[in-house]
Amino acid sequence: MKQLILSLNILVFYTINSFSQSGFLGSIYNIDLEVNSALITLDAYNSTRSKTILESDNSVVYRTVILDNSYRIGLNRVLSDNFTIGVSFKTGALNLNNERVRIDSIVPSPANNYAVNNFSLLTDIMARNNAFTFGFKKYSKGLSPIGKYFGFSLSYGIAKSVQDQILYYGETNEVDRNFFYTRKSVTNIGETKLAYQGKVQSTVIRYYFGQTIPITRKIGVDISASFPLLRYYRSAFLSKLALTVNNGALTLNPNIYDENIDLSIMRGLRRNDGVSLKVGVKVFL
Amino acid sequence: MKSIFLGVLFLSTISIGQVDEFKNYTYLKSKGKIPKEFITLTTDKYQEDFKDNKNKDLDKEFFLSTRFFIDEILLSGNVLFNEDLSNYVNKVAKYTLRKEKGLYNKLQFYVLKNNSVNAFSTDQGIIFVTTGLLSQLENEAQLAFIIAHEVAHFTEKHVRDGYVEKQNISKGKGKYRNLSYNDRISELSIYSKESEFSADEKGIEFFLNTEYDIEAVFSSFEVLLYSYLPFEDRQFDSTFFNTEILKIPGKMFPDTVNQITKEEGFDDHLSTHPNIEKRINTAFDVIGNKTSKGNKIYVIGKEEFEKIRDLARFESVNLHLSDREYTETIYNVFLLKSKYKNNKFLDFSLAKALYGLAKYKNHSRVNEVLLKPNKVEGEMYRLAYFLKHLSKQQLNIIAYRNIYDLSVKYKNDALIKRYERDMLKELALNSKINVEDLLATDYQTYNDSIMAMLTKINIDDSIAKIEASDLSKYKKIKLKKELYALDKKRTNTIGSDDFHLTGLSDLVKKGKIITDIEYFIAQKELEDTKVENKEKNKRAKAKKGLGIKNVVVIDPYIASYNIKNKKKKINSEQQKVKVNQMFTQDFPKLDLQITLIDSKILNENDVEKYNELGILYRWINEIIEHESIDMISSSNQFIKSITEKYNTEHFLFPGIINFQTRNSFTWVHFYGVLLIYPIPIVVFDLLMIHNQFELFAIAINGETDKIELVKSEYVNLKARNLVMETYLYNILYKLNQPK
Repeated sequence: MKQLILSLNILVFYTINSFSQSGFLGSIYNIDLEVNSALITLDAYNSTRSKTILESDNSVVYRTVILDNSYRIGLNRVLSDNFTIGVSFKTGALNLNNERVRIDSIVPSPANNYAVNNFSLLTDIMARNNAFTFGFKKYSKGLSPIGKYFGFSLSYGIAKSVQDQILYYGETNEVDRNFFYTRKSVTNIGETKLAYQGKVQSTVIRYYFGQTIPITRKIGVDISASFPLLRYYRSAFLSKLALTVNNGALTLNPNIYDENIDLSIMRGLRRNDGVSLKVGVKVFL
Repeated sequence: MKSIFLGVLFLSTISIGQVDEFKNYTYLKSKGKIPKEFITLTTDKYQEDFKDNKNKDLDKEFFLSTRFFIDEILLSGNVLFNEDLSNYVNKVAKYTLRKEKGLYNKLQFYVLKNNSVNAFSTDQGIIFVTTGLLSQLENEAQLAFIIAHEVAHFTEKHVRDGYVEKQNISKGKGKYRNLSYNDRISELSIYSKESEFSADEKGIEFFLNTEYDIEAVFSSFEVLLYSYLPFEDRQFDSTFFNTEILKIPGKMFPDTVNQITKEEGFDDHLSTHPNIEKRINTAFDVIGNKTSKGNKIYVIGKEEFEKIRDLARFESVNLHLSDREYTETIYNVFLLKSKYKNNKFLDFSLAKALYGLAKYKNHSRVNEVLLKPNKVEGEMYRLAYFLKHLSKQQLNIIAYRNIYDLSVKYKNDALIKRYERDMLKELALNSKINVEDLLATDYQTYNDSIMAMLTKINIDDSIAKIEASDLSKYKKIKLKKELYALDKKRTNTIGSDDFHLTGLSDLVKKGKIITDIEYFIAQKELEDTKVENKEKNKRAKAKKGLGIKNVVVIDPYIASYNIKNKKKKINSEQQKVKVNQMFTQDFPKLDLQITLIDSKILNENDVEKYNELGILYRWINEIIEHESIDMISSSNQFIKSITEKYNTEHFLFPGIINFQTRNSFTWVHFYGVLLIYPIPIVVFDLLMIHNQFELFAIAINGETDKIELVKSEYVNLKARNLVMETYLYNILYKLNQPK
């Protein structure tokens, strides 16, 4: 996949002589600066995306976040009167479904050496998704690169959680819930460090349509919507969340964990790669 | 003695000067400074008009439509000012109105280059007289009355009142409330005629204050009655095309002509003007026993009038040519040549007309450019009949003969030489003439030899021999048929079918023409064998540019229409001004020099550009009409000076038309309605206004008259300035890209 993207990038930069076009008043190349906003979707696990705020020692709020934002910078080249191709780099903070993440605290127990207590996570696990995209647009109404278009893109990305994050956990009890937030009371707050890093590779093919409107000779506005045609996620390993308390030896049992960080990243990515709306600025070079 | 000598010298100078004027005639052009009326934006003039208006019945639309209508004429490049014809008309007008204090200063008089016999006035006091009218007049007094009539329309405010009345009629206001549609149309026609009577009446009033002969009032009506005919009705000389070598039999011309049928009392039921009989009767009543202050038919001068009229007639030849009216061109040349026998302009115009006819005949489109004889009245019928009945070969020979002789006469004229070469190529490749049929003997010798041969043949004896022979039935039938044809030829006057075969006998004798024809044929065959490669190259070429470094952009046409298909005049002008700015700036990424000639950015010193616009419009219209026929345009010689001035032979005519549409109800909408839930989307889709524009551009080479680029595209986007600029830039880019 990396090689494919690299080859396609080379195509953009080294096909000048074959594809000589007028562009936008002579601008063959243009740069996109975009904000992508993906609407949250309800997936099979009913994982509503939330932002965790620890209000005090005994109260936590999980706020519902409707949009996932990411930012993209891209370089496009006009190929013909109707086609452009482009490459871009997208980055965005992934917002994971922290409310459903359960942390198992393994404590020594006289009876069977260890006991498992389930705690709720009280802080957001931070993860970031970076992706390279190659795409093309066909301007069905207009002269590339302005007008109305549709297109396809292929992106390859890697999403990772931030290593060595300090996490707070505790026992929680739901107190209040509505669409915008869930409030829970908290006891037995503990602190730990996320020792390992979740990592997920994604390959996504998207379809998008939109319009580029020139504002000045150098600047234009680009508005588009897109939805995924194919989303493929791969994780090298399913990393677990497990905590040791009291510095005991740790044994991980995959069957215990309903939720883990890679899955959480995958779900976050899936939301991020859903139907999205983009608003951007185009700079004509 | 000395004074006599000086007098003779002076007179001969004048006459030589006059002869020179027509000897070196090219086309009529304006001179001096462009009047302010031409160079003020229409929007500004409209706003002034509307601001000063005190008549509540006149809405914005009246001032908008009249101003934009006038400016379309003024900025066409076809209006003459500060030159001989317009100066003369102004002199006559000034004299005619000299008793009306201050009236002349409120008016502007211009001459419009147009073959229609017309004069018209506007609410703003601009009066146009066409060259067609000037060419038809018999004397100055008639012009004076026509001017008086048009001035009367202005003083009586007929344009304004007519507009108000039209509004009332169309909306069914006042006395028109209970009338049916047909009755309203009749009322409109009646009102228009009443205005004409009123203008005649008032015009006569002005006229009676002059020294012109009152008879001119009646004779000018006759001029108008027969204005559809050429400016003279003279029998067409059947030897007009003959030369020393080419002899056309007189029997190819008909003995009789279609009679002129127009009567003074023609049915004017559907006409905006009353018939001549009514106008004459009304004029009689108005004049009564009154007389004018004199009985002159010339006040400014007969010589000047005749010069002006002849200039108008010369210009009519140019106009007919560019409008592809070749029959009229030839007839007008015939009429003018009786006075201007050795005139290069007339000779060349005749050659161009014959050239054009031959080209159209060879491409099976001659009906577009030939008058139908049954629709021609008067003496021009002879010419129309003759031209209609010429075969392809005959027409080509006549055309080539004429052009060749001209090229010999004007050896150093490169353009005539070009016509000669092209006509020979046309003869070789498209006339379907058999080279072997061209004879080296002259017409008389050929005629005599045919007669001698035919008299030797005993037809009956030959037929008897054939019947007695052992030949097959079918061979006998074929031979007998040929003998009967020969017999018929003997009894008819020889020459109507094959006069053309001797038309180039001098050239055939020299041999070069046969060689040239064979060369053209061989070259064509060679080109045809490369057709396949050409097709492949064409596709590849389509992606490449034209390598143009310097282009003249001519008056971009920008128009905007609203959802009701009504032109947004002010908006269109504003957009045009903005698009013009695009063409006046640098494009660093294009290696292209752009010169803009535009009607909206002229200043008072740009009279040359103004004249160039007129020529260029005519030229492009002619090229477009020719379509696929590869031929030299009649305006090519005038374009040459423009190409030299701007140092390029590439001209671009772009245009953008913005319009708005709504989606029409389709089966998709129908199903949407049936499904209930999508109804709001259906309603939104049907009500939503879609902005689109049509982009067109044509680039023509002024040297070769070839179309270099044609672009026509519908774009489903709103025509914002930057969007329009992008598309226009794209066209410039395609012109500029290397081949």
